[in-house]
Amino acid sequence: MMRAAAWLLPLTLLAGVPIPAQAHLVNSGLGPFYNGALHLLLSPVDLLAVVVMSLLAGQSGKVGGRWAAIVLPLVWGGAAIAGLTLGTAIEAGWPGVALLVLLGVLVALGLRLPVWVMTWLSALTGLVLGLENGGALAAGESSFVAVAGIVATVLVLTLLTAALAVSLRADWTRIALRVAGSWIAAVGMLMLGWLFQGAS
Amino acid sequence: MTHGPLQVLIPVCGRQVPISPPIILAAALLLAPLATLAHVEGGATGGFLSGFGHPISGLDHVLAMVAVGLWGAQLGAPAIWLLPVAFPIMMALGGLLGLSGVELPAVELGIALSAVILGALILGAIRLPLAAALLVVGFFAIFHGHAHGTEMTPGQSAILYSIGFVIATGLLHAAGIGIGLIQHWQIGRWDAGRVALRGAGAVVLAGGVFFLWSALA
Repeated sequence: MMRAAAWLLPLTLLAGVPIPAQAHLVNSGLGPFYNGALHLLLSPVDLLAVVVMSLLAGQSGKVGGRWAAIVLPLVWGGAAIAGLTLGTAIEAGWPGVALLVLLGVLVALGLRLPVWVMTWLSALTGLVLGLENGGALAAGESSFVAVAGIVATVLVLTLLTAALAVSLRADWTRIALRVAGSWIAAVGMLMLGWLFQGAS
Repeated sequence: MTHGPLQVLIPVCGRQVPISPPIILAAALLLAPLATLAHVEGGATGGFLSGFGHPISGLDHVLAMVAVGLWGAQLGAPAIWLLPVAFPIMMALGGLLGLSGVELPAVELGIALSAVILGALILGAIRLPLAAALLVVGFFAIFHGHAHGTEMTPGQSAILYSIGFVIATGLLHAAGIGIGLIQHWQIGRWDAGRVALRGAGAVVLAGGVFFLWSALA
């Protein structure tokens, strides 16, 4: 018994010897649809753009939220297909980041925008980020099924986020919404600077 | 040199000391070479953690961020939430200026002065008009963004660094607001909380003076 216990220390040390970690995700492993969905969820600029657009739409009321939930995924999908077909990769990245700043500031200001303005902003967001997505997918030999995955994720995220923003009633929750907008605008502004320096 | 089937005799100070093999193995394992951790975390995790840790790691930055929350709490609505909304945007503007190559004069002085001025305003319980309060906070935020928002380690994700940086700054504001809630505490008829909050302002002011002295020295 004592002899076995004597081996406890060296065996514990042996277990603690570090080995290289293999923690990188290559793809979903579930096919192109889920690869597309993951592409959006793992792209912070795209994700923030969907969230901030939906917050703005929800902040402007139920009608604005509904239009955003229709227009944003549709235009996003159309632009992604166009980008995928034409293979026009937009390398700059700054239009999407500039949108983060614009939309974040609008949320921070707590504006209730008219429905037509909301609709056009949704279309602009979908167009810019959809084209970027399509171009990126074309470079990676992805299929239209991946675009479907992206569009489905945009739709679900928009619905959930806009519905959350519409449902907020308490003063502090409306304030939290505006704070979130200011944070997203700040992230976009810093990112613009990094893009200016050539970072990614 | 063996002493029994499972022991080795090691000479120590002229005496033969029996050491069992597990102890020898343990000692050998302690000498096993470990992976060198001289490099910063890379990729997504490293970018976020680096950005998140940056505002927290500098006491001058921490003092000013918390002071914004304290002052907002002291001023009450709408300043309590307008100041923390304005600060990140103006701070990011400062970062954008820095990354674009626009130089600001005396950045370190500006950072130290932010703690001095904010600390003095809290200590004196000075209630500036909302526009003036926003102007003060926004002005100093530019210096903080210029100095701290541009110090990402090469090779890390810029967007995640930015997200981490902004979240940490916002949480420091929230901490300041949380501390500022002590102003509602009362001991009998004595507004102990308000005095404590002004005391916190004095601490910020003292820290600011220290950093100002360091910047001038």
